[in-house]
Amino acid sequence: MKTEEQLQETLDFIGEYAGTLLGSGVHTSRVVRNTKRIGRSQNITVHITTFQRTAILTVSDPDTHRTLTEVIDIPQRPISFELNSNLSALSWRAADRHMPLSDIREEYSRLVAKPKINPLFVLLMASLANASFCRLFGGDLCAVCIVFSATLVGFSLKQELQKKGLNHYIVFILSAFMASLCASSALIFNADADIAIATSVLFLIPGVPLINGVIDIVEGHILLGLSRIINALLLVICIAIGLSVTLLLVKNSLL
Amino acid sequence: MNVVYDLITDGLFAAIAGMGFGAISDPPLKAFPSIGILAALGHALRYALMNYAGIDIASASFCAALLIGFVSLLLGERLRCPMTVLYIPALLPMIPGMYAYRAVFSLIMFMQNIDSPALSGEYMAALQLNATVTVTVIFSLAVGATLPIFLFKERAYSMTREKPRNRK
Amino acid sequence: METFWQTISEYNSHTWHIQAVATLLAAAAVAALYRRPTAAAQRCMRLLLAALSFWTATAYYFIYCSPREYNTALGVFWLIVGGIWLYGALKKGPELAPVRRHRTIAPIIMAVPLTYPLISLARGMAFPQTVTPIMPCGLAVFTVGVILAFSPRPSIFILMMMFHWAIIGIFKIRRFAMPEDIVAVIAIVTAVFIIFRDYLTIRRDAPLKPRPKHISRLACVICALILALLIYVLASC
Repeated sequence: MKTEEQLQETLDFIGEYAGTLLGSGVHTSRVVRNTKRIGRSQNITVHITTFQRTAILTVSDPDTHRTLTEVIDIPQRPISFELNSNLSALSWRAADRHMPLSDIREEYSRLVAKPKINPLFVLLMASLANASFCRLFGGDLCAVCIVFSATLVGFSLKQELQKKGLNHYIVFILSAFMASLCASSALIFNADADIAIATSVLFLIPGVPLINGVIDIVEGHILLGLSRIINALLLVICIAIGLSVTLLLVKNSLL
Repeated sequence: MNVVYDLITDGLFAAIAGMGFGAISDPPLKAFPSIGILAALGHALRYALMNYAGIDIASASFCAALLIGFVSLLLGERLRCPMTVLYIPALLPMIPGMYAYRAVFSLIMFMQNIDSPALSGEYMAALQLNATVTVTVIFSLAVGATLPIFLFKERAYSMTREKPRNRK
Repeated sequence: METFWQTISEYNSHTWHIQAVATLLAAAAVAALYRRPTAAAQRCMRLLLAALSFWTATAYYFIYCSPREYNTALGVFWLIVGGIWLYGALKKGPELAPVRRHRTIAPIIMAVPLTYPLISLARGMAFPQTVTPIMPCGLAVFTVGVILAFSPRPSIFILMMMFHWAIIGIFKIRRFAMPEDIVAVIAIVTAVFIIFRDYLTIRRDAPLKPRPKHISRLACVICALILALLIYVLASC
């Protein structure tokens, strides 16, 4: 038995929880399962319809058959696997221990405020990753090193422009251009320049939305899966545009 | 001996690539070693299948993704974190970047040579070939790693649940 | 390699007077900023760096290096660097003022480009076939030096562009038999490492993971790898 206010309070929390999950790159079926589980821990049933930017939530109290519906905006957050992992664990804890709503909310705020990854660390790691990628494609030592520094340039540009809040399509075009331009200096050294240019932009590939999109589609959330894939494809096109500017500059040397 | 060396270096670089691309998506710090192991296993398997067994890149990627999916099921249970957190970064080193690049390059060269039927036809064929390989490989990667979730639904869905003995 | 030294000698014999003036201007701008970092002095420094970058892009790469292959991409690189400094000068970027901590190291790094002609002469080259301070490598070192000396929170992006130049420099040593670049590589990598470590110690309101100590270690490992690469390249040529 829940009063109107209690039900509303639960709905508000579940809306915030689902919005955070959807915004930080969790595939749809996991969001649905997690929110239902949280609802179960409060003895209410939850139904959720998700779109790319909004979600519709309905909660109902099985005892009184009272029903509330709300449309929530999905906030644009950076992808966070840590939140995905911790908030999923929270839903199980809530269900297994029958935590009261106030406790779940407190725990939720603690998890959301957990330290994020240091952008400088990401910068170094992504550049190392891209350099190894170049090696996997068969690039020689010179190409590997140039891809490393080209990624440092491209990725730091991406981070700085994103901090300024520039439109992310433009950010992707500029970063891809900058990274591939720097990588094209491999041409001077008769190194594997095409491999260097090709790998220098791969740190931008939106792998998480791409794979989440496929997972959503095979799990039956076809609409949302497609919109994720279209989103990712737009970014891939932006990468291709940035790359083409460099290729047009140096194409005669690559033939 | 050479084979072992090749496989180990291949796995090592794939591990660095997997952990590095994983870092972009803010994973839990404890997940980094597992991501590295998964990426190394998957990529080394694909390398072996392609170079020693002569299997094409799409099927080899599918097998490697399947392996990554199964191992992430085991590792995810130990770390109590969702499978996708482990396997998405581990799949990224297998993205066929060179094919994607050649597709873009062929598209540009096609546009530069529209007036010459012979050259433009050649570049169009290259564009189709490379784009097809890219899309197929990415799709088989994603599906291959997701299959274990369907096979072991119960286990995959309760990955972040505390073990019964720890529950109050 | 022949073309490389030929373009350099042509560039030097045609522009040595401009280069001399530019070197003096750079020294004057640094001295002015050290004496009193007024708004005018800051703007002058930014405009000077922009002008030097544009000069490198147009005069050096687009005009004198046109016989070389692949000059366009490198020219565009320096055009972008120049554009960033110009933007900073027009929009009044973050304050440029002497950073106390780097009082000793920064002037040394800013002076490194002056050693270029000396090294060239010492290894038996004769003017105009010498490396001079007003060339891309010298400008990269000078830029990093100015950032180290005067900018407490520089843009990581421009820093990384200069770092990229250091990496190219390593391979230039082998490709063009140009040992002058050794000092440039060491100077740039040292300066970038110092600035990077400074960044890690900035206090933030929200803590970040992993701990700065670990990131600093990772940066150390990378610098060690670059040093190893430098030694390897030197040994192999």
